[in-house]
Amino acid sequence: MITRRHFLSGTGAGLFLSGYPVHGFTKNAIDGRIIVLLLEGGMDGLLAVPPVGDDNLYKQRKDLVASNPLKLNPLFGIHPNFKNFSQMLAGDQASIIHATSFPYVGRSHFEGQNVLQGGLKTPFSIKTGWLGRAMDTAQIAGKAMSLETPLLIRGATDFENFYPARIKHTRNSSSQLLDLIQSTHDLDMQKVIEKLKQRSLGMVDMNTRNLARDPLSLASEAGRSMRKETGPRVAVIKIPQFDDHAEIGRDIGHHPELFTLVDQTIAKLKDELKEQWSNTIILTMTEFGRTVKENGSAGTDHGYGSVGLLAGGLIKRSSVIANWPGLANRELYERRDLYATIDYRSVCAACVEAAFGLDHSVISETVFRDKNIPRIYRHIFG
Amino acid sequence: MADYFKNSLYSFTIFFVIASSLHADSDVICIQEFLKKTVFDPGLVDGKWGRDTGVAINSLFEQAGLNKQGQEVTVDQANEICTFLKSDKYREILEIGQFKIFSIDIK
Amino acid sequence: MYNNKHIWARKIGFGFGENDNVPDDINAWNNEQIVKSFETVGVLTRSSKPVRWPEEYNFSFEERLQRAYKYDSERKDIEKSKDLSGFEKKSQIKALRTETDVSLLDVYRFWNSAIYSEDVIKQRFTHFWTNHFTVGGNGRRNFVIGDFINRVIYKNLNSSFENMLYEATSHVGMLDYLDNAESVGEKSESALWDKKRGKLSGLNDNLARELLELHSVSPSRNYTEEDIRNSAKILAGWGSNIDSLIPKYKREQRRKNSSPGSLKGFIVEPYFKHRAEPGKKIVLDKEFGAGKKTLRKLTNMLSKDDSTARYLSKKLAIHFVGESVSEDEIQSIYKVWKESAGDLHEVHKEVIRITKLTSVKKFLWPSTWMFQAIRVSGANIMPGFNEEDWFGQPNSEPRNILKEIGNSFWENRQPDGYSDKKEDWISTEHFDRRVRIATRISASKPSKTGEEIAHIHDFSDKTKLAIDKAKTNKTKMIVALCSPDFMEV
Repeated sequence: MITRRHFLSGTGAGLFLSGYPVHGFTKNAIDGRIIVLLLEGGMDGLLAVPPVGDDNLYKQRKDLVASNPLKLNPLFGIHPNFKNFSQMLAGDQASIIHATSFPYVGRSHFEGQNVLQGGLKTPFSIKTGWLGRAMDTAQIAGKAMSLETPLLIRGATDFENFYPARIKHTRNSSSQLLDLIQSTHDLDMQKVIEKLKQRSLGMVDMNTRNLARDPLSLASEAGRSMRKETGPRVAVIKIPQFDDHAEIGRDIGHHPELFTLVDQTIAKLKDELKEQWSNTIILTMTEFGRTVKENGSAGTDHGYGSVGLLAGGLIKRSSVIANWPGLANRELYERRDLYATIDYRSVCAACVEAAFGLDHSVISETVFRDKNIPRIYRHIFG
Repeated sequence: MADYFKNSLYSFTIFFVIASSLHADSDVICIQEFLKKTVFDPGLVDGKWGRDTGVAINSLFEQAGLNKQGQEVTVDQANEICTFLKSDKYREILEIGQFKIFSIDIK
Repeated sequence: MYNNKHIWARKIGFGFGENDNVPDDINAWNNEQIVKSFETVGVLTRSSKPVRWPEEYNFSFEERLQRAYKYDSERKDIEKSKDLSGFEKKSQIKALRTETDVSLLDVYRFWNSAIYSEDVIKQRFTHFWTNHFTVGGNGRRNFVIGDFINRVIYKNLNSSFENMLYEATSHVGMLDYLDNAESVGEKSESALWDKKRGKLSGLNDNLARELLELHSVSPSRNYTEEDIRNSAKILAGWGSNIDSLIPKYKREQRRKNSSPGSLKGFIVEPYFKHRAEPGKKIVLDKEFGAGKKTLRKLTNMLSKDDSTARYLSKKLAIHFVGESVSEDEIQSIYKVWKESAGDLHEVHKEVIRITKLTSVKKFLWPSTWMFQAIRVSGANIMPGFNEEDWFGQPNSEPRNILKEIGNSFWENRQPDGYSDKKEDWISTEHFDRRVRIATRISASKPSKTGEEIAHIHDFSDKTKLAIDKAKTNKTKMIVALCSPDFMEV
């Protein structure tokens, strides 16, 4: 069965590392790490964290509920594929936000991803990303590990990316040659070429030869780099293929496989971060959820509300945070989607507050350009 | 929170009936209006402490860590609650009341 | 204003190389380019001169299907065979793949066209429209993408947008890519049969959404979810999973009276009534009936919509003129679009005219830049289509390189296609790729030097100075090709 999910990979999974400490940065600032897992395509929140205590769940999508969800509390369960994540929930190192979304209801991937990464309500209205602006405000530099530079991280004062090339008969160019090329370009390009030069001068200690490009390997690399005191403080891992318009699966199948992948990615990060885990917050982001009822192809179409998964040592107490809107037809958005009753920007802001130590009001205004974002910090990190 | 009020309760016992019939309405309205700004819905803002109001304020207090296990506030403490909600704790409790927390029962 | 013919040829085509006759009258050349029909050419081997592209490598859809079927069935036979060793099996399967793989040859054709063929302007427009009507690649779908590019896009460059929109929407590749092959009308016969068997089936709104959002009117038209839903109802019944075409072909072959044309219904305008949704549908306030002809009526309406004209005029302008194209420039194209009712010949002529007059620069796609670099320098970085790699197979490098530079039409990607914004292409890794390609070119016997290229294309003094400072011919070439003078035009 051929489904749409395969094309949303673009260049496949991608990893972006950023935030190497700037020389002279004040030591008083909080030294936390943020890792964003960008789930491209629209994750089905109701399949991941089914509200088993809501009778309407089984009425509305009986074929799309896992048969053995792990029960978290009277209202919510979690898909059994989240084995590692569930253990973290039991140990106050993870939390779940449900019925949440960025304030975007258009259901388009491209607009949705742009809102998610750009951080403003109107798609395509800004050329920087919220995490990039947060790093700017906290004066952190940047470095990416994917072929393209994700919008999420743009705006960072200084960035680079890394994605091993596979073109035969070529090798890294000499820095003298790069100097000459650099001299012909404008300032923006010069900065880009500068990063290439540093690599050729051996200033970047990455083993490029055998580096794989799948999410788990990239997560491994990210964890190892971020473990170091001088290492990056921000990572973005892009995990594609969540757009299951057909054959989403419930116990086994494509979406459940992706849950396992996300679960293992989080576990791998914890493993590699070691001591830095206590200083880290990982958060998932997805452009929208999926329809409550399944469509004709045993899949779901684009929806609105979904879940956010958080993990990391910075979390104080595990919980499911939700202003549960209900699943009866009249309680759904446009009678088809789970409503989003929590603005996910609150969650992003709280993570920035916890990791970078910026004030909520500063984050609200300079990062999200919106004075009215509710503060959810207490419920997760307080 | 409940303990504190229990101790003071003795002082108010004698005047309780009179006090509650004279002042309860405006205090209850004060509590209900506050609750309306949170996700803990008290139902109608009518000055009457019904089941909805009781459930709402106790859920909020439990989430805020103010109610110790098993203890609850009642209409008798309406005045104290209202004063508390108007104190410098206002922002904090309001913020806590914006989101509902469901604890994790697996260990 | 593009007075330098070589620079103009890069703005609108792939530049002039050693095999090109630089025309005296550039305006006549512009006109000729979009009116005349040209041969596709290619090179047999790395060192030979361009020749006509072999007819046997222009595969019809039936031939593609035939080859896919052959590969499928014979591979299974080889794998099941008890007489062959593991190694023998592997080498036989490889040989079989060589015999049947069409996508590698499609990519070769694509490369060779850009580097050696005369119809450069048409090719640039082909690249643009292929990107607009993105059909993502994968193992199965790659064998129809060449057909999509040639039959739907290239062949319609001088007809109307109306034709192109309909043919793109109803092409097997598009219908498979955006899951429409799975979509059945909720009230269709198919759905009712499924229901009796306890199976759930129904509409899938993927293609309908992209048809409105990306291919025609765009979100500025303010269509509703109802419009999308009803468009999905009109689209239901169209398409066949490419996977299932193979067994269908097998069955047809087994019938006594089978002929090459017997699968036509599955390939061209593949519509299956039992999967279609009966009844009326309303899209953008217009009423549509049921049946095969409805799709054409829908795409015609969308193609005539004012929003479509605006959206596409802007997209064309940005792609050919540049990101900071002015509103006036866009308006000119829009006017011609409206007056000619989307006649692509007229529209393309206007795009060429406006582009010639502009002073705005465009940061070129990596693939465009690469083809220009190869053509203009005269280097031979790719083996000819008759040359094989170490394993005796058609060389897969052209496809790999397109993938590495992030600009391939045979890779999986989002339906909104490749970006026209400079900022999306300037990352360290992208730049690294360009330097590598330039290095390959410099080492592949180019017939021009970096200095010559700088001279012919009026490079800035700053760049000429840098080229001067480079010590070897190779490094001079790399600096020239990686300068902004060559990356932007």
